[in-house]
Amino acid sequence: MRCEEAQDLILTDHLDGRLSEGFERELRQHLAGCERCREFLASAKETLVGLFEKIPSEHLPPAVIESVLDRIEEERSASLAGKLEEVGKGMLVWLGGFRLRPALVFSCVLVCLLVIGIMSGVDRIQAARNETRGLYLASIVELSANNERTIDYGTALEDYFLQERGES
Amino acid sequence: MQDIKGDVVSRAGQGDLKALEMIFKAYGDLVFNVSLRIVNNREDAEEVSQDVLWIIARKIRSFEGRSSLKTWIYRITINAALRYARRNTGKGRFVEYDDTINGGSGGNDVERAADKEQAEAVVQGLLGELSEEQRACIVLRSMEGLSYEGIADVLGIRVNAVRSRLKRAREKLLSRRKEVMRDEM
Ligand SMILES: [Zn+2]
Repeated sequence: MRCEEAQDLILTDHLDGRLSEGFERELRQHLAGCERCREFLASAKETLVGLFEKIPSEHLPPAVIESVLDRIEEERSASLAGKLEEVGKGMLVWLGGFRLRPALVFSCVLVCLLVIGIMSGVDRIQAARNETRGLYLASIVELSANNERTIDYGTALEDYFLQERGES
Repeated sequence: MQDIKGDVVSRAGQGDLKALEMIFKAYGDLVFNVSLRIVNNREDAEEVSQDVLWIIARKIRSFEGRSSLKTWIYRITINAALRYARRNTGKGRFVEYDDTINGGSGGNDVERAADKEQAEAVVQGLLGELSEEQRACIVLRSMEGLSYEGIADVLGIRVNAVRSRLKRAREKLLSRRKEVMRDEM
């Protein structure tokens, strides 16, 4: 084994304890007869292993975790409010267009009631399967599935409605 | 470290904040330590850690378990920390290695290094000499104790590439340390 090869092995597999038995034996034989490589090994151990072993492990300040959890909650309620506003506006436009057609207004109200019912905890998937509730509901379920930020707003939505009713 | 089970991951994916908190608590120190060794500043490391937790919260739903959760978190952390370090290279967060050695109150380098804080300063100074890729390898191997295979998995490179990066990084560390010690004598 040449010095270059020995030092290569020392710097990698030997220091990391993954040198095969055969190579380990060859390396030992080389070291026995080569002072330069023995010195190289000693300084590699001191600098690359010894120093690093002294580095203490640190702890993440708990405030960092809390701030992230707080931010997630904030984002959820913000995106929930935004979504409701959008849905509300859409409904108004729709209703406005069909003001003079009571049957459509009636069906629209029906859809609103269904949406509220579903969002406030009725089994959503079962509801989406119901044929009369149709694509509109399916699209709402899909909308929530595609929204990256809003993971689950079942209970928050309930809160929102309770709060709205309480205020009015 | 707490052991995180599959159901905790899937609950977190469904938006359960308690489950997410369990993951944060189990891996927060890992995230912080790796960030700290890469950006070399506590305040910055806290900022990186915060970003990493935020990314975990947003992406945990798409975590498919093809690698372990730990590997996945290491990967996010390394990427975030390297991105941060790159963006802030102008700030000169890394103290020159010479300064970490010569800035002390005199005395023998090895003696001082026996002190943990000094060792930390020396190591951080040395890490600052490495390229980002090399630094990531050294942090994962020498501080986090990952195997070559584990590092390859985290960094998305081959085991041979891990080996050669470690070799080049360590050659650089050794020669830099020798230079400084020679200058001191
Ligand atoms: Zn030799």
